This record gives sequence, structure tokens and C-alpha cells, in this order.
Amino acid sequence: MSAENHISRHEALGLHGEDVHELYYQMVLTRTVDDRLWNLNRQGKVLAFASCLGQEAAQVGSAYALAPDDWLAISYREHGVVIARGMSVRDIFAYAYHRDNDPNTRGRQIPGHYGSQKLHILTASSPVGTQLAHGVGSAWASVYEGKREATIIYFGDGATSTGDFHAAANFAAVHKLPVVFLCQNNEWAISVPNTLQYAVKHLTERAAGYGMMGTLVDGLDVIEVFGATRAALARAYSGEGPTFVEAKCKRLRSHTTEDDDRRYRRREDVEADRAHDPLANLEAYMKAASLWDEGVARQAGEKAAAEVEDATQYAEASPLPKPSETLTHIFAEVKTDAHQNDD
Amino acid sequence: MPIKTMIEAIRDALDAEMQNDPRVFVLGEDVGVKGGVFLATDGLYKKYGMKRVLDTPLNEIGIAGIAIGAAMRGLRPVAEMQFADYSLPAFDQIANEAATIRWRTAGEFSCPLVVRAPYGAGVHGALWHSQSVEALYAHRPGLKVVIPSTAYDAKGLLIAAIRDPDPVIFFEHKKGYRLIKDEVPDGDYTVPIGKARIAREGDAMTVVSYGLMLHYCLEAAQAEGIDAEVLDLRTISPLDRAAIVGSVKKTGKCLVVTEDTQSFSITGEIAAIVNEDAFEYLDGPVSRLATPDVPGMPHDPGQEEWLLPNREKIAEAMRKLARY
Repeated sequence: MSAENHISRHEALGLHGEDVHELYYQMVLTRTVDDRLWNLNRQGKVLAFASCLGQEAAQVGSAYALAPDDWLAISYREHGVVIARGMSVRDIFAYAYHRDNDPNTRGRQIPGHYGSQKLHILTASSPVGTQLAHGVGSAWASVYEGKREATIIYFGDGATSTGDFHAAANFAAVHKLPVVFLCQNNEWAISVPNTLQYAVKHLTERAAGYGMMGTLVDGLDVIEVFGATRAALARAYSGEGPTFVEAKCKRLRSHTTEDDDRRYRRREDVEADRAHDPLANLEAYMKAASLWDEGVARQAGEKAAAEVEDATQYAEASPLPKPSETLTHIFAEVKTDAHQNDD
Repeated sequence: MPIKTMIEAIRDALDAEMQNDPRVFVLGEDVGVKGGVFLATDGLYKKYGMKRVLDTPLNEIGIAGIAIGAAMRGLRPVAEMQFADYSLPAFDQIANEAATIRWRTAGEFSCPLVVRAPYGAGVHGALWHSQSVEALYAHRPGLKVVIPSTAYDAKGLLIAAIRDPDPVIFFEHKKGYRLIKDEVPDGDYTVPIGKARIAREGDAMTVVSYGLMLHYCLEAAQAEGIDAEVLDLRTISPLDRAAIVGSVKKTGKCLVVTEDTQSFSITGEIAAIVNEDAFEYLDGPVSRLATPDVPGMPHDPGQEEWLLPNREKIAEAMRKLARY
């Protein structure tokens, strides 16, 4: 594409150069966080985590399109989403280290299952697909209370096979709810490839079956993801109903730190996928759009590294929860039967 | 005070709380225009409209999951599962999600959800319209499980459940819907969750039960002339441990009667509690009467009646324990 076309793409969406720089920074930060968490896992400091390497553009681009009042229902792989939403890197690392000052879960969940009232992120869980129904319930609540809010639901290709996906998509379409179904298709559900997951060419073909709009986007292109999400949100706000957005991505690491994709993926295929890098993609776009110089890259890299280093030290210096704290917050009442053995 | 059936009391409770709190809405299959297959929501659609009395597509995962999402956002959903048997597709949403939300967020989120479902046999509903599944839910920490045995309690407990800040699974015996009737005050009142009730005072033994079986226990005690203290649990989880132990310490004997099957059940839990906290007071083994471990309820009325606990079987169990 020519430089003019590139410029028109972000400007046509009302994005300024500063926005593109911000998107770039958030993607660099997401990758720096991801790399550090992966390394900390190999050092035995972070017990488990699901990498989002390769999905930074899909995550940051879509979350960047949200309004502050919108709600998010997420899976356990959305580090870029919560970064774009404004979760501090310190909070992410306090969580990964199970620290008592983590606002998400304080040592209870596996890292990455974020939840925040302040950021309008519904608590995530490990069962795949359950958040789809929660997100639709959230959109129902917004309509019920007459609020102009949308709910975006993040999930992967594997989740589209669950009963929860069907329940959520069908209900949202029947009631024309303000929902954006944001599917990051990274081609793998642990070791099961798309070819064994579904028979359609694109998952967006399913949208018509539910009576909703489907949009296929290049999940490696942050500008395109932003545009598609913003259009879906506009439909949501104006009462036109849900949209299914399929962002085609690559999974550049194993499913999680506990998985070894050498058992099911050929190395040359993995290497070939590395050429589909959303960050390199954006870099090329910025160069063509005259938004790039080496200083941009260096500054972003240094700033992200400093944030992650600060967050790592912050987390390591933070206290762990008292083990008996695990008996709290079972019910709203402070004391439950479980406390009989406390201390 | 007006005499009402249990189903009328439940309808009263829903109406009262929908009147009191605009966040309360009901959802489920056929709850709208039809008013529910047992008519628990009869008239509510006309009064409150489709937004608050919502007919859902036929999908229990969706009913539970959408209710959970709405509850996390601050609404007060009352989800109806058409039969307790059909709540199992939603077990993942209820047991893995609703039950864990407060704990897994260390109190940041909560799930003030009520799931109502008719349970129980004796109506020739066969395998999938007869089940008692309370033990499945009671086993999951983070859920409250309530089963009323009177119309008064059904209304007061359901209002308490709707106001409760945590998920409550509310089972209603379908044979009791019109069979059970007692005095029910107008307006709203609550019966506290987690508190058992002494339905009949006595000194010879403690009989613990709930739901429809509670009535059979009372009738058996009356017919046999046994001085049994009959304890109505009202809440299955959290169990009113103090009430059970207190009564057994007084009587020295304990019989537990449920319609649910016996193995890995509420009866076993109560026997364990009595063993732990009232062992020195016992004059006999804790006895259990439950439906035998059969995977389904037979449709043939003869087989069904043969299988279920009834007044005669309860009376026999009481006599046996009294003799010990």
C-alpha cells in the first residue's frame, strides 16, 4: 500500500499520529510484560500464565476503541486488553506474584484472570466460554437500566465450540443487545487446530446463523481491528444489535507456560508464523505513514522495560497474603463455618 | 391471616420483591406469558412486562450465565430452571462461576443470584422430572441451598434469598406446590437463611428432614404417638449445625429422612456432624432413611411409590430407633 493509503487509514478513523504512537507503545508494553512473565515462569517465580504473544494488535486495537463506561468480559489471555484499559503494570505483576496488594485476586487465581470494578472488567475464569454468557448478561443489565454502554466479549476460536457461545450469541441477537463478540482466532485450542475445531472457512459465517453482523479482520493489523471494533460499538450504541468480529491472529508461543507445542507443531510452521508479527506490521505502517523514527522505537522499548522492571521489583517487595486469608470472602458475611479452624 | 398454597406464596414473594426493588427480574423458560409450567410467575408478565419477566431461549447455560453476568453488574436476577433435573447443564455456570465469584476476586465482585427450581418425585414425572439434586449444590462452597417446607417459609425464605448478597439455590417440592398450604401474611417479611425450625417438640428422638418429607415425618410421629422432635432444616447449606446438635443432645437419638438418594448425601453429612459434636450424648446410631441408590425415578406409579420414603417407612424407622 502507498503511504497515502496508510495515512488515510488511521486518519479516516479519526486517529491522530499520537494515537498511533500510543497504540504502538501499548503493544510494546504488552509484549514486554508477556516476555518478562514468561521468563519469570522459567525462573520459577511465576507459577503459570497464558501468553498473548502474536495477539497484541487484536487486543490493544479493540480495547482502544472502547468508551470508559463500556464493560469487558474476558478470557485468561488478555494482558494487552487490560493494559489498554489502564490496568497498571504494577497491578499485573503483583497479581502474577500472588501478592496481597493485587486488586484482582490476591493469590487465588492463576495469573491473567483479571477482574476490576474500576476498569469495568468482569472477573475472568478458566472454564472456556463461560464469560460469553456473563458478557451478554452485562449487556442485558445496561439495557435494563437504560445506560448507553456496550459490552465487549473476548474469547478464542476454541470457545466458539462451547454451549456458552451458542447461548450467548443467540440471546444477544434475539434481544439486539449492545455486544461486540471479539474472537481472537489464533488457530489453536491448545493442540487442536482450526481444521478440527470447525468446518466453515471463517467463523464469521456463523454470525448470519444467529442473525447478527459478522466482520472479518486482520488481527495483526491494529488499525483495522480498531476500526472494526469501533464500527461494532457504534452499532451496539445505536440499538442495531451485536456484531461478531473475527480477528485472525497467530499464536507465537505454546498455549501456556505449562504446554509444549513441540509435541504438536512443526518448528518450520512456528518459524513461518513468526513472520506474522503485529508489532513488525505496525512498524511498517508507521514508516510508510511517516510516524516512525528510531527514537520512537528506542523510547518505547526503554519506557516499557523500565515499567516492567519497576513492576517486577514492586511485586517482589510486596507482602504475600496470610495463608489463612484464603478462608475469607466465601460469603458476604465476614465469618463462615470455614473459620472454625482459623488460627 | 390468609391460607395460601406454597405456589401462591412463592408468587407472592416474587411480586413483593419486584415491587420493592426495580433491580429484581425473573428469567427462564415459559415464565412470561404462560406464567411458568407450574404457574409460579402467573400474572407477573402482565404486571411487570417482558423486560422483568423474561422468556429465555431453551438453554439452561444461558439462563444461568446471563443471570450471573447481570448479577455481577448489580441486578438481582431470579432464574427459574423448569425442573431441578434440567439445572445440570447449567451446573458449570452455577458451581464453577456463581459460587466462586466473590472468593476468587477477594470480595471485589459478588453474584447476588437466585436460582429457583422445582424438585422431587411423587408426581409420576419419571427420571427427569423427579430428581432431588440438593446434595450436588450443597457440596459446593460458595452456594447457599434453601428448601422450604411450608408456604409461610417459602415466601419468607424466597424474599431473604432475593435480598441475599450471594448466590442462593432455591428448591421447591413440586408435589408440595398445591398440597402444602398454611397461613401466609400479606406484604413482605423474611425468614432467615441458615436457621432451622423445630416443627414439633419432643424428647424421644430427633428427626431431621426438610421439604415435603418433613410433613411425612410429622404425620408419622403423630400417628405412632412417638415423642419425636422434628427439625425442619429449611436451609441445607449452610447447615444450622447448632440446631441439629442442640436437639440431639436433648433427645439422644437421631433419624435423618430425605427424598434424595442416600450415598454421599445430606443424610451422611448430618450423621457426621452429630458424630463430631454430640457423640457422648447418643443412645443409638444415627439412622438414615432415604431413597435407595437408583439412578432414576420409575414412571410406573407402583414402582415409584415402592421406591420413595413415605409415612409408613418413616414410622418403621422411628420405631426401630426408639427400640434401640
